[in-house]
Amino acid sequence: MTDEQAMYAVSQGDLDKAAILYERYKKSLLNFFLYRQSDRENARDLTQQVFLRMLRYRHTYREGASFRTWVLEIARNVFFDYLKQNPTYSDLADVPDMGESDDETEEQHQYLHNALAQLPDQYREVLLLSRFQNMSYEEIGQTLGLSVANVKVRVFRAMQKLRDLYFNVSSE
Amino acid sequence: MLNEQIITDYLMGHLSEAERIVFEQRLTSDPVLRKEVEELRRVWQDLQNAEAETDDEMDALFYRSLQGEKMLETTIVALKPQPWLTYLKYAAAVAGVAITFWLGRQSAPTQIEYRTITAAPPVQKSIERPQSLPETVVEAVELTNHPKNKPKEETISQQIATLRREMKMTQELVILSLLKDQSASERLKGLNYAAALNNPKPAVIQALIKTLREDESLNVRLSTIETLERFKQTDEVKKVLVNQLTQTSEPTEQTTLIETLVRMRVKESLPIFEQLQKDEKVDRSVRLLAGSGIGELAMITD
Repeated sequence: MTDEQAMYAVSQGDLDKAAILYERYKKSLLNFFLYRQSDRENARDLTQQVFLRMLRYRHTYREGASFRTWVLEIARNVFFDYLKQNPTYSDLADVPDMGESDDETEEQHQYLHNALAQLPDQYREVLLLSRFQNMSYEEIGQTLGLSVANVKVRVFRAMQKLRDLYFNVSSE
Repeated sequence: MLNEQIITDYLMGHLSEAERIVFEQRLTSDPVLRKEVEELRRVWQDLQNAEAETDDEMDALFYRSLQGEKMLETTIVALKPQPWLTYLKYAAAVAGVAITFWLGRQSAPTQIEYRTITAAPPVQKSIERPQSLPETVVEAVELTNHPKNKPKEETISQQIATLRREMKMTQELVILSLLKDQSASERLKGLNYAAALNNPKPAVIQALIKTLREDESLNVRLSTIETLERFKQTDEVKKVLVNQLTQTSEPTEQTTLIETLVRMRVKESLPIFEQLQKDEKVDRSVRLLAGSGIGELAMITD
């Protein structure tokens, strides 16, 4: 069953199909939030809010529309609301709590997170969409209002910038 | 294709076999390019490895919420006007007409019996009184041929149409009343019903416009924007959405309005997008979105 078929079933009242979508998207959404703010607890809450809104606004889903793009719009709105309610939020100042991991992995996460924290928003977003949402260039373009060619260029520049920051941070 | 695009496609594995071979040949002959690609590949892989895992507590929370939502759905379904219930009403109306007609026939058994006898001659528009038949039979023939006594299909369709009109009117009244409710969740319920309407009355559209302008709940306003977008996009609705964009300072609402106006291809929103893009007090993501909206709308030709 595709994401779109599952979501359409949910919109028609078959709420059990929401579990399929939750299992498919929980990890990518958790990471999406974890790399936009540092607290794991918050990331978990924000992920829950996305699925709650998905259920609550299921009637607004239109048959055939890309589910990934639709749910990501919800995730972005949830994050905007979070920013609004937390005006003192200091972006990505801290290293995220990734759960259990060994020292080396944790150190690597720390470098990467620091590097990501220093990326301009537009670059960070395109990387998160591409990596953690597994979105195609077309879907990213649709979400951010860019052409496919521009998405590719932005992904490249984001990776270049991330590389420079990452190697600088890890060599400090 | 630009170098940047080729490298991105190569790292993501999006190049065709032929393109990949050509590009790898370039890599062997160009050490600077090779170094760059290798470094980028490492960053990309590290980013892939840096993915956090979910946990059982998170799952438990979701499944509890889902259970709650299912219970809520059961309650709402019980309250909602169901389509089958509508059909049941039509069926009841049809059955009522049929039963009345049948009872009418049953209450005149002699007439029906005599009608069978007189059915042999061809049906005539004006009936002459046959000499051999008693008066009662003739009266029966006249009665059964009278246009008033014929079952009229058009009457049934008229009744169904009336019922349908009444149902729609009731739905619209319920929506109008829900939109005025103090509870935001009731207003959202009203919006859900409104979204299911086809071609709603101007009164419903006006109530939606009022809700968008005046409702204090952000969620209700967001849902109103989505509902308005579903209906016939009149100039008035477009104007209202553009106006709302000038009034609100909520980033979520601004984002939804910009995306909606771009989807509706409302070129009149361009000056507002430009203002937002320049205004440093506006949320950064909204400004970026306004910028990309300008680009999209500017490409639309009248």
